[in-house]
Amino acid sequence: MKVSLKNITKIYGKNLAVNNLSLEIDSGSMHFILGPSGCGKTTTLRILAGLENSTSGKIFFGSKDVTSLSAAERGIGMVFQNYALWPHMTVKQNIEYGLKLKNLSKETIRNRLDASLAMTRLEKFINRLPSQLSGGQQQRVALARALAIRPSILLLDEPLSNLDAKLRTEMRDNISRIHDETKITTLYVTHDQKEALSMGTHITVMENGKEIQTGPPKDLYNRPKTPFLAKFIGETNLLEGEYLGRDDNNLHKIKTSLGNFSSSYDSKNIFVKGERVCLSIRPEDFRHHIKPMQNENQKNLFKGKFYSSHFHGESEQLQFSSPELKNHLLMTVYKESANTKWKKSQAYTLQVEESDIVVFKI
Amino acid sequence: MDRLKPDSINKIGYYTAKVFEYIAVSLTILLLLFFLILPTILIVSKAFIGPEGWTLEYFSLLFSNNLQMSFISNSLMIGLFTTISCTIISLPLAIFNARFEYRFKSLLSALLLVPLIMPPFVGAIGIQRFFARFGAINIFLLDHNFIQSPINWLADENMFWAVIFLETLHLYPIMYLNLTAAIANIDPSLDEAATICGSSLLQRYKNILWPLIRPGFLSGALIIFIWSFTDLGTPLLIGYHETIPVFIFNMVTDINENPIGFALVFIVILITTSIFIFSKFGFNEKKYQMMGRGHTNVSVKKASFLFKIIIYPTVISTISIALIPHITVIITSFSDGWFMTALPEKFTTKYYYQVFSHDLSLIGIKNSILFSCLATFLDVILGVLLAYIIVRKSLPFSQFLDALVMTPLALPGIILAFGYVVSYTGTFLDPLTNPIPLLIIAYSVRRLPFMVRSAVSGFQQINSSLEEASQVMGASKLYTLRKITIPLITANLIAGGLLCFSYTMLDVSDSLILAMKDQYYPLTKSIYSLYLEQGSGEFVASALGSISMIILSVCIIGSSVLLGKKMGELFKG
Repeated sequence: MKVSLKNITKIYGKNLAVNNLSLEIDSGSMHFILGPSGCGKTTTLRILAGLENSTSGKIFFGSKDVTSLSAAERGIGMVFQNYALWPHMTVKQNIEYGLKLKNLSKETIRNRLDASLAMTRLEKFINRLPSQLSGGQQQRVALARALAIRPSILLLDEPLSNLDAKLRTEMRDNISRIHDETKITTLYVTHDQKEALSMGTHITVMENGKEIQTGPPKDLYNRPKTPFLAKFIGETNLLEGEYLGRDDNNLHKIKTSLGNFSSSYDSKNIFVKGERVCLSIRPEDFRHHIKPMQNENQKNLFKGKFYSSHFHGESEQLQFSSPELKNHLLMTVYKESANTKWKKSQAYTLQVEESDIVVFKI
Repeated sequence: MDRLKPDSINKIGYYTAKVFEYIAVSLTILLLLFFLILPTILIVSKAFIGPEGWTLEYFSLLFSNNLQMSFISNSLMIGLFTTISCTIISLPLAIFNARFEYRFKSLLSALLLVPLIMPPFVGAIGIQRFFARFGAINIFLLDHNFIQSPINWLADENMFWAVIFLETLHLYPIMYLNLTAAIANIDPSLDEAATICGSSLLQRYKNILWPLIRPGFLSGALIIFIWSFTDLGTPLLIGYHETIPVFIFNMVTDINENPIGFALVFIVILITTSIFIFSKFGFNEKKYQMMGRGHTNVSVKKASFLFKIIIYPTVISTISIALIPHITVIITSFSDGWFMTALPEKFTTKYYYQVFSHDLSLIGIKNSILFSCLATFLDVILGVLLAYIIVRKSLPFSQFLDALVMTPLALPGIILAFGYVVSYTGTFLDPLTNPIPLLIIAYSVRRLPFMVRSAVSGFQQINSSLEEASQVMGASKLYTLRKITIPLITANLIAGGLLCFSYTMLDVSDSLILAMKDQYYPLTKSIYSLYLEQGSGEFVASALGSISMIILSVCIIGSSVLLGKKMGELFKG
């Protein structure tokens, strides 16, 4: 079922938690709302669930206006951050609770219970209390409980934030598998960009109660609309500069404290000569050159001194310093460069392709 | 998985829940309006209205009357000294309990709470027998030639201190519970951080511990002060009549003859409400929230040998002294022909038989159980609904409601009971004709704060997402309350209910003032009447007092087991 939020605003006292948010969530999609703490993502989810009333705006499930309906009347399933399993009820009782409320026949309840347990692989734990389950098992019970009622929409509020890294990866696969099987329209709130990038069909990034950008994960990563977004999704190097216009090859020319740069970025913005702009370069887009380069290749070069490195297993992140930079420049190298001996304070030349430089208005 | 449309939901449930909320609030407001606010306004207005209209004459008469002014100062001093002595006793005990582990800690901690199981006025009976001119203590001292002539322990000049002694022994557990909860709530890492910064033990207590436990201390101090300031039973039975409560008690018989008394009542209301408001709004904003992830991992250290030398004597001597009134009452109840000997020469159980054969005591037990059950039932129902509204803020004026249900704590029982007599004499609720409705209402109004606090503490422990999960599933608020919330807070409700029941069973001021005919006497009035009877009255009263101790112990131990350290939360102002 398609979900539409139209001009949703939520004000708590003097705080604007959600600011005129409009959003379309496609039927059957796994839509993520991503944003830093306090950006309004959980409030949005709770408004959608009917647990909070919006100050203004409308919510549609399909073509039905559900704005004035209570949580119970919306027919949604929800997994809470702390799972909200009822501690005095067994796994079976937790899952059956919502089914009994709907006055379903005993046989239907049994069938739905079995289906939910099978889907979440919890058959063995049916008679256990939540306190007798591990974190991962509790999370699965919460999911089974939400799915058992056959919701039109599934809401997930940071469901993996209480799990350790390994279990989180496992549960990501579980949720993706269940979503593939059920194709329930799912809205998933998280602050973990890896979760959103790896699982989402669409992502909405929020900041200060506003939607910053919505789109498929790759679009958001490669074509962020704002410097905040570039910085929030993945890591990036931001450089301020002055826009110099276009060169003979129709490339954007930008003057920065580190020198002049050319970008082939196809921006929807129209830049004016002389205005301040911001460049975003992902750490993995840098290359470094040990041998001297041919003259014709000497474009988009940085000179920096090696400062430090952080080993990440499959990659290594290097930091370079330059007197013209406030922050260190980040560069990610993978296996092929892993054998390079980086020497502290030694100068290196880094280069980036024109197509890998994103240009923003400030 | 096949896709189905969400099943239909019953809308009626939602509106029923809202209706219930509003009914509970309206009922509470009406209850408090007619049985708290109106009686108070009426007795206050009588202090300002004379036969010829508005006047301040009664106040000038009061202030020029040295005797009545001394009542005010005596009562204030009783309140002040009792609060100070309770603090001095409780602070080290609370630190020992919250911070150290030692052998028999559970037993000793439980014994420290024993004084809660007896109203101090029952203890006064035992104390009188022990400390009388020819009581057990003097006889013992004379027999062993420690003294040559009997000491007049209960001489007029010592009565004041005897009241404070009994009040302290009864009330220090309230401070002890408050301070223990406050100390246990402090994240140990705060203390450790100060240690790392180089703070000495004294500096840490002064700069870290004290500011954090101060709100808990003030809550306890408030209850103790108001309680001892307005306690009727103890001074009445010990024979120290120069206090405000005893004066008001005597005034009930000649309400219309002494309007100066109303001025005195106004002064009492002014003092208690000022202290209550001051403590509520002057200090509450300084309640600090612990930022830690939980409060359960409080560091309880094993007490070193040096600390054990301090802990055991302090705890054991406190318990021993605190148990004196109880022991004396129990001994008195079993003594047979106790006269001019340190201890009874013979023991008997006949007074316990008399308790169950004597009309007055049987009526007392029966009436108190009935009245207390009804009052507790009303408190539980209202308490749960009000606490739910307060914690979940489901109605717009929940904060006002919170303040309103706590007001009975600021109004002493003696004032309220007196207000009822003034307001409802001559009406269909006239206590002289049938005090049962007023007694039940007075009991429930005065214990409602305990029940609300107990339920609030339960609701606060439950993450609201547990209720939201149920609502998302399609459950109404009322269904969620019944199926999810109440099962999870049952322990709090039983504990709160037991406390309401036990304190109602042993209520003194309402019972003594409102029950005017034998057939309506509750337990405490029966004890009082038996005590005044010649012959074996004192012994039967002691036996009845001992039985009341058993009833109260069962209730308090039950509450303590169910609530654990949270019990202190109930005694917060």
